[in-house]
Amino acid sequence: MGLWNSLSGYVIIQIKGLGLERFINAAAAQGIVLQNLKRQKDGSLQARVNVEDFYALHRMRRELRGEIHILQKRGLIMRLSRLRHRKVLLYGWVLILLVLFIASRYLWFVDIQGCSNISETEILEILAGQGVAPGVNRSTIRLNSLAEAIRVADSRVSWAGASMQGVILRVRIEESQEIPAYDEDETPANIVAAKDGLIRSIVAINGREQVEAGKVVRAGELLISGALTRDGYETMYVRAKGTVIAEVTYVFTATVGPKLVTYVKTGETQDYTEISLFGWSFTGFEADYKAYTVELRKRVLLTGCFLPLFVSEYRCFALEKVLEAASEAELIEAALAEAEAKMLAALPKDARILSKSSSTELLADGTVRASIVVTTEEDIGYRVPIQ
Amino acid sequence: MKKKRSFRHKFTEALELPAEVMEGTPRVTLLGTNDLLVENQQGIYEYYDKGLRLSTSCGILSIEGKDLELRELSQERVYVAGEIRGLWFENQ
Repeated sequence: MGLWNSLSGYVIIQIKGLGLERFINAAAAQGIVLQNLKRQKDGSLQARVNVEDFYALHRMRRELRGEIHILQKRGLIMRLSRLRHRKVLLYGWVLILLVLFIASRYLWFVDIQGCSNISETEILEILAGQGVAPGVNRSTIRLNSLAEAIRVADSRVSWAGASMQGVILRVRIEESQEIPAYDEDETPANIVAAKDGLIRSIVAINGREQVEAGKVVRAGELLISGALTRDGYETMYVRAKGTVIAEVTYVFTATVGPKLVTYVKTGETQDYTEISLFGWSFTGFEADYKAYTVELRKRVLLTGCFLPLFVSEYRCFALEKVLEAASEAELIEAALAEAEAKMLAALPKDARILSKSSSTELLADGTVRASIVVTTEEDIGYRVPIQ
Repeated sequence: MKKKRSFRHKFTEALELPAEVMEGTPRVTLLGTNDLLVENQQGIYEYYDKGLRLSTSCGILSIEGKDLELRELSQERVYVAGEIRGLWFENQ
């Protein structure tokens, strides 16, 4: 009841006069419902009544030897009626709702997930070929056929899915895994260790295992033999195949200092202005310097514009390399970074890192040497033809 | 009059019909000491913030309390809220 009154509107009235009880009895007999009726200190009654019942009550006021005053008007209807005098505000709201409603019928954003080797631009091009791009009507998008089209258009995509969330098209792809090429070469060969390591597991698919798990092997040591011998029979030579997983320890060192290469500003600058909308820039810029840094000086939102158009001013500072004396902490950080870079470049992609530790040492000449010791688990097998 | 009331009463009792529907007997429901619902009332006799007197078929129902407010007043029922201290029928 309270909620209905809040929506349909009600008034709080004050009833003054003589014979108030007789008046409210007559009102109740007419079917008028009075709520929150309360006697005030001055003898008047304050009550709440809905709009329709108020008009009925007002018609009965002759029976009352007194007056009825409206103290407050409440409810959604009352608030909306005040807008009659603010037409621009009312029409503005209606216009905004209309624009939002129309805009929600179109696709505005495309979110692509799962891209690794395939670029998002390629997927967007496939979508554009199917007539799907920001700005198209959502009702024209067929999600099932879209996913199928992506999968068919690029053989690197093993699965694709598309879904609409409001005005965002979410595309998810799963890239195909590379199938290892079948080795058709049948030249007899052994598998030897490519590096030193502690054997963790050895599985020979073709050939005979020469070592077992737990043994330490050196680079070049025979792991799986392609020469199969048996008493009373001629030696048979096959192409050894298998997987030999071993624990390998690497040590990477890097020495830096006592000065480090840093970039300093030369003093030359170049200014440019960018206009952007939703993060997309309409103006391009190419600096004339080999090395530079850019700082934002000012960003202004164009007012009076329906869309959030930003005008940004940037300053480009030219940089040059110089050798500068560095603190011990900076040298340590640089040495560790260099050692880490060596490690990333040297480790095989399929190696699984088991442990890693690093240490640094300040040398007498002011340089810092960093060492990183890494233990990995990897396949150390290397095929060598049997002579 | 007495015979009519007596017959109506007996009729209601025999058929086990609710008395407040057939005879207009007032039904008074008190919830705690703050809420009171009176159905089948016949009008307000007197109302002030410390007391309320209602006309019913059983006589004048007097309600005494503090800060009494008529949450809802309609043709046949009244919902009283406030600090209710007592209620009684004045003359039957």
